[in-house]
Amino acid sequence: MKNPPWFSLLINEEARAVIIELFQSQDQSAAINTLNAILQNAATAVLIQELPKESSEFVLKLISSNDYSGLQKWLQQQPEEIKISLRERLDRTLLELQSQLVGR
Amino acid sequence: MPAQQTTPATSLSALNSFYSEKRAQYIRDLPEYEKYFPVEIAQEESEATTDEITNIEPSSELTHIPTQERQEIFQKLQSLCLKPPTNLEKKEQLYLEQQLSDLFGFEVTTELDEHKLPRTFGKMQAVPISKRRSPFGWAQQDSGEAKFEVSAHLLLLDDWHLKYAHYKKWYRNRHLLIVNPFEQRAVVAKLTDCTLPNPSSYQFGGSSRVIREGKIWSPMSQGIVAVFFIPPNDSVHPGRVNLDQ
Repeated sequence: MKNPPWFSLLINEEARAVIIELFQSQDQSAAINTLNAILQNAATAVLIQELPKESSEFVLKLISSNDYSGLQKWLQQQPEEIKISLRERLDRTLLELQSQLVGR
Repeated sequence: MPAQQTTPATSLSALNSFYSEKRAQYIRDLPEYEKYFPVEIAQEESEATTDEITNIEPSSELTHIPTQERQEIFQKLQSLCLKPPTNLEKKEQLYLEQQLSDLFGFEVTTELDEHKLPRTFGKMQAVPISKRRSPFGWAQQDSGEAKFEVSAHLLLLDDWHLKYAHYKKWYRNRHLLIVNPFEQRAVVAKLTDCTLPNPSSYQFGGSSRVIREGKIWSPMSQGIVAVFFIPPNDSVHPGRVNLDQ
């Protein structure tokens, strides 16, 4: 079984569920994967932009190697500021996506 | 967030477009970090069962290729992929084709019946499989193997404007071998589209199945592939080439 994304505790689950519900049931599995990839890129951008270079390099290596437990451990040790930034960016991405999808 | 619903249901291509737009934006803002924004859009067509994957077994000739030689072939392909686009010298081209034909157990060429692709080495982007019809009318008709599809921007061929009627017919549904030398993966796919949305940045497009089975999404590959013709061969069908020994 696949691990959930390392940032799943920071996702607004209600917003995510609303987006997934927009898809037909046979497409939902693919939609979940693409949505995770979208959120993963958003989270990665926050880490690059907001962490000091040496810290971002460390965590980007964990992301590249799909080190799920390493990422979980790393996240637990982080100050609240970076978690807030991650949460905000993920929320904003979900809102932006939802508005685009329903606007089509 | 209010629970808004659209009817009919939203299409996956809208989601994929959002993914691509966002990824392009991150790469524009953070160009030196491009490798951390992989091209993967893992469409779990595992919906599609593994039975649907055409694993092409290598011919027994593969076993005669020593591991070291195999590594060398992939390393050579890697270095060619990373070079600025150049035409290979004829001798080098023929030698490479021979090595690859020996490796895969079926004939592989960069030129077929005096036809070439605009590029042999280039970057592949994921293109929505739902894009069924190109401006040149290559409607997808046979759905059986439709999951392994690639596109190339044939409009870049020097004499496309003179011979497009012939080219449209000749290139359509050609079997191509897509090699990802960075992951040592290869996929056979059909050429089903002759245009790309962004041909200056990407020279090839691949359906989600091609991107996934070829591991073209991987940070090591970053979409870079080598693409060859496969002359008509009844024993080679679209699917991943099984190189595991």
